[in-house]
Amino acid sequence: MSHEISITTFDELTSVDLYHILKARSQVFVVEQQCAYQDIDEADFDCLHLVAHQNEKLIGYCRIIAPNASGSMPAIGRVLVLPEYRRRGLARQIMLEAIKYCHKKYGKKTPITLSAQTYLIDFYQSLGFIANSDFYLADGLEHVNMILYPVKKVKAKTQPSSTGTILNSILLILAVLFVIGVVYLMV
Amino acid sequence: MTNNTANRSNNQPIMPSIPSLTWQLVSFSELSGYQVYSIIQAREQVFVKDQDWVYVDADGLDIDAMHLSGYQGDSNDELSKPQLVAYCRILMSTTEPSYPSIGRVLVLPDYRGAGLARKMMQHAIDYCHLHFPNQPIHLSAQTYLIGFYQSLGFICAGDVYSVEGIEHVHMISAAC
Repeated sequence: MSHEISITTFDELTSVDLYHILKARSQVFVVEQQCAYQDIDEADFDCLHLVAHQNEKLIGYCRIIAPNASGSMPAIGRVLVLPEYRRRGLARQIMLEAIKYCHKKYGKKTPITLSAQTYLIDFYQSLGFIANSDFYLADGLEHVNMILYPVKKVKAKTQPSSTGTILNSILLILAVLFVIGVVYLMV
Repeated sequence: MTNNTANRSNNQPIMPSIPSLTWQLVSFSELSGYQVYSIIQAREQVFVKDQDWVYVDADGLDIDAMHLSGYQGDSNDELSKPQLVAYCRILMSTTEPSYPSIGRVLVLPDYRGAGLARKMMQHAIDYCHLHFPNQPIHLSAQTYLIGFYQSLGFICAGDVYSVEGIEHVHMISAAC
């Protein structure tokens, strides 16, 4: 499936682009999920808007909420793929692009947060996110907060464990040598 | 709908005089991103959230429609985030001769009871008469508003029908 992914600020969106974004969000989060809530929440002015296009038609979307001055984490939200374009891995690609963008813009040490509908926990876990709250209801739908911790932290964990295995093997060799020594002395 | 009516009567004493609004009547291509956002936001608030009505408000017809918006504050000074408080759109039929229809008529809850809807409808009707001479104006009214539209010269043209559980009736104003 050939498609393009673009990431723009609110001000860079044309009126038509914006209209199609709001239309898609309404189709998925209001109508498909049968939830009469207000999708438009004013946060969009300060968000980055990721759009997946195919032949100039919007087929997938998410927004990235920038961290605020008080040091909050960047957040990914309103992740959607239009029904006829699902089951082709597009959501994963959208998420990977959004994560890449956050790491590039806010640094790889910055954790990324999102509020997942609980039926999607496995999907977000496969991208490295970890659930870190109780389940809660938002507009009647069950959600959970999830965080993607920095890549470095994962590396820091693997490094000592690899030196640990080297130490273990040296210890094992020494133990074997000791046993051989003892046996030799006994003989 | 019952809630909506209750809101209206609750809000009536709050706004005794008509606040001064800047009116803007433009095509979609003349709207800025901020204005498109404000319009869909107001429509979703009134028709989706407040009326608990699950439907896609951004139905694709807006691209070819005229948009009449009432802003508190200068509609072109976007830094001051002017607040959209009243709105309707005018659609042109694709038939020949083309006739106009008015839809998505709203006034935000805090601004109701001050005659803004009537003032806005009058603007829209004037525009239709100017650009579509000798053509009737159509609209689809929620039934609790039949009296309001009748006072503007519209008459019911058809049976009451239900859209997602909300009763509507087709209304027409005679051509002038």
